[in-house]
Amino acid sequence: MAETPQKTGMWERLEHCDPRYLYLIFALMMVALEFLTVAIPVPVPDTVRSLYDRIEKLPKDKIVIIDCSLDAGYIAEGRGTFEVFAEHLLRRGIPFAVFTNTTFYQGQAFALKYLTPMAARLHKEYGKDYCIWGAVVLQNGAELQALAKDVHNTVKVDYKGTPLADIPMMKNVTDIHNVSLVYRVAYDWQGVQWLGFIQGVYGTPFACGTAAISSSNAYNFIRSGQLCGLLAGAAGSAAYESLLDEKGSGTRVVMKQSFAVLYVVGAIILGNIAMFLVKARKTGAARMDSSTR
Amino acid sequence: MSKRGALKILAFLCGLYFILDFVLPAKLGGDFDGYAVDSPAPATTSDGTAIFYVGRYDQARSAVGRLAYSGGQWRRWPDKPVIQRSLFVSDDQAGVEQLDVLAGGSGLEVLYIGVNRDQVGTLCRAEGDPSGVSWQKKDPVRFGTDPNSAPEPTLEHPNGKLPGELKFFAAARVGDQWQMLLVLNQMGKGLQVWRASGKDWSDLRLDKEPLLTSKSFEGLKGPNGWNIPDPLAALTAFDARPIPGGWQMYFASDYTTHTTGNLPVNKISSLERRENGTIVPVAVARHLQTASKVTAMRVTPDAKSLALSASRKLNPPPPPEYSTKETQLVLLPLQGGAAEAAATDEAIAKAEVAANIAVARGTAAILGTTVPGPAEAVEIAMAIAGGEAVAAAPANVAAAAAEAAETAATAGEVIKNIGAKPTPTYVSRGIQWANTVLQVIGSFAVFIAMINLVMYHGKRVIRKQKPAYSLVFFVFLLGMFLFSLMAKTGGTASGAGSWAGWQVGFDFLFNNIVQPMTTAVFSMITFFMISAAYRSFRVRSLEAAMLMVAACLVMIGQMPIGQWLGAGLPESLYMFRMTWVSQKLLTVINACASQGVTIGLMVGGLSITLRIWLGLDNSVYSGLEEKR
Repeated sequence: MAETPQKTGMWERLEHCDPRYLYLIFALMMVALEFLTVAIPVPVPDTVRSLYDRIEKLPKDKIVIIDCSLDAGYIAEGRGTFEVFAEHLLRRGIPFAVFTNTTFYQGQAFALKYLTPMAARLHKEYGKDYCIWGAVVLQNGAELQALAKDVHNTVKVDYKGTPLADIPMMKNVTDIHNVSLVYRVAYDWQGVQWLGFIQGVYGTPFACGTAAISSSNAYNFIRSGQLCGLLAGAAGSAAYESLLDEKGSGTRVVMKQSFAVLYVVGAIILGNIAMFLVKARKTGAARMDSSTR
Repeated sequence: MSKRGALKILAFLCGLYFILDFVLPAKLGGDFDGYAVDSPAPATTSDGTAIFYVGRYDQARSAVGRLAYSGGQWRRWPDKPVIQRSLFVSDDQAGVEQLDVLAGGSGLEVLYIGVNRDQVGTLCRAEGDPSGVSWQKKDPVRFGTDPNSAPEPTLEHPNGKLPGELKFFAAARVGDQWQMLLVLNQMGKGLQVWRASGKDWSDLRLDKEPLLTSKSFEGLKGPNGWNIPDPLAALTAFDARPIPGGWQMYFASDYTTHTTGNLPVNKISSLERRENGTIVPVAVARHLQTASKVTAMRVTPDAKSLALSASRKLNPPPPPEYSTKETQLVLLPLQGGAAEAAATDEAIAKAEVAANIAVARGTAAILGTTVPGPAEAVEIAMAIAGGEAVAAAPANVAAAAAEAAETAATAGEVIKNIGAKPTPTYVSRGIQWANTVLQVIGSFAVFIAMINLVMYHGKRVIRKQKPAYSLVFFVFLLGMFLFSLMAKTGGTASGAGSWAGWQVGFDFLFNNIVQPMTTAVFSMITFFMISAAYRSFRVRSLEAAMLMVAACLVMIGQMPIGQWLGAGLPESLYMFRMTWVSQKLLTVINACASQGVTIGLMVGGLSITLRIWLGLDNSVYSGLEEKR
């Protein structure tokens, strides 16, 4: 005897709905937010404020190193964490050098792309206020061990091939003692080598900007005092931008990211409600069946 | 010897080298002040006048030394430092700065700014015997602002809560009270001078308002009618001493950035700040203008001289083990010279002009060697004098300038250079060579990856296995390689000629193909996350429920919208705020679990590394066995 097809209710359909509808709604929401601006107040976490305060106190006769390990996949979040930090340094007149490596080879191009217009806007000069070092091959910390003792012979040239000794701001920078802070921007949390070979040995303060999803590992080092600041994703850079009293890429991204997170959480809740209701209905139907028999 | 044995020995030696470089200091031997000398503080001891100073072994380690006058010159006595930085107390773990030595009840008192590992300064204190050879550290000085309660130091603020970051200070004993002036950097407001006083170092009271700010110098004119520049704006050193009815303060300022050519200009000025609030400039008889910057100074107990530390950049810079600056301690008499000889305001004015010009000409240089030309001299003099018409100085000033120059040039006495320099170790010097070798080896990895990809796709093209995809690989590999190579080597650095074209091509490929494609691929993850969140993240057990609740709280709490959601709750219900909950989850629960995992990973990694290094793990050499 052929079974009669069971009638599917709204919740069953919702439980097994085609994910493409979810994608479509999400895409439409992101497109709409491209044109709409929702003013969300951005609170400033302690991890961001501590970094800001530290930059305010940094001496101007030492440089800051920014390890720019950006890549295109992370650029939506990473751009803000890089730009906002660099802008603060340029505004304060603290010279900084961008450390780049061959593993995250796009970092050098991104640093150049973002710093050139920023420096022009703030009337800053390459070589005097900032510079971008030539890429270094990462060697599990051996390159940092060498960098700490002799910057010029480890990095040798900037991205254009100019020897570091010919760059005005680098003339008196010999070793890690001429560095007041190291800041790493990267998607993942691979700052352990900076902690192990630089912060732990020489006491040079270390901070990082990372993707929100990777930041949970970095919080370990906040508690231990090894990290002096953390910009966790777009929220971190948006909070820093609010301290600088400007609206940059962090603020733009965080609005969309907030709604995206709400959408994901909403999807989780809706999916579970649908599952429970369907389960309850099936259990109720089974009980009714057994009672009628 | 087998290949495996040779490789094991090589690996062991390389590992040993890097460990030795990491563990051993970069330099050995030398004096504790072999890197730099700084912060002189003259004091009257039971052995006569002594000068205490900060000696640096390197940029991270400093200690306090003592100079005694014997045999016609200042010598270090005792030879070892009299005060060392603390190893276990954090206040001065990273160094000592800005000494001041005072006569105390039964001996000497030293105050200094101790620097902790976060580079935050704390005003520390130690008590010494009358000779100043033996010292015992005491609790930091404590400041309070509330007259009804004692100062409350915290771990973060060992001195109590100050209105700004401590930069400089001066202290003196007046009657039964300690009097102090603190130069504090208040965020957004710049440097300010605050006064504190009290009978006990553990309970000094700060005034409610600063004694001096930059505003105090607005419109302030000297006896010659020129504007007095704000010394706080470019302050590099500070000292003060109480005088009847007020304080006399000494400022060392660096006006280098005020000159168009960035010529080095450093000047010492002085003023009296009287109790009625008036500020009276005092002509300093001796001027110091050199390429050297004054980094610290103290007036001698008899107020006849100024002990200062001067620092000058070395060009070309020395090897990295040594300081890039030449530092010296100088004793500069405050009496005599052109300004004191001048009795009238007009004469003081002329002497000021003369001294400024003399100073600017560099002829008054005690330590420096820079001698700028006449035009630059006028420019510097204008910078020092606040931009007034120094250029129109009368002709007879030139003679006074020469006189002032002559007196000033012979005024200072270098009392201490740096001690014996330490010797760099060969292990330390070799690390650069070893790193270069590693860089070269690491670079080969790129070629290996490229060769591997070329072989793989080359086979697919030859065998006609969907060759179109593989051809796309070859086109872009060659394109990026060619444009990148030519952009670096194909033209002049100025961007002229063919170089610019190749660079435009490279930028186009990077900005319009590489970057958008990488971003697009990464963005796809978001869609998969949504699908997974909706269809797979189901609460089927208690553990899954806990995981889901924690994930949702952290996700929302990390976002401003989540932080905003609970912001309206009253302070007493702070634990229900999304921010608080997510931060606690991240920084306590997550951190504890994650730290456990990390420690486990590290211990495991260490044991594997040790096994490989000592040649106990043969698995890394298994390829060799197969070939044999």
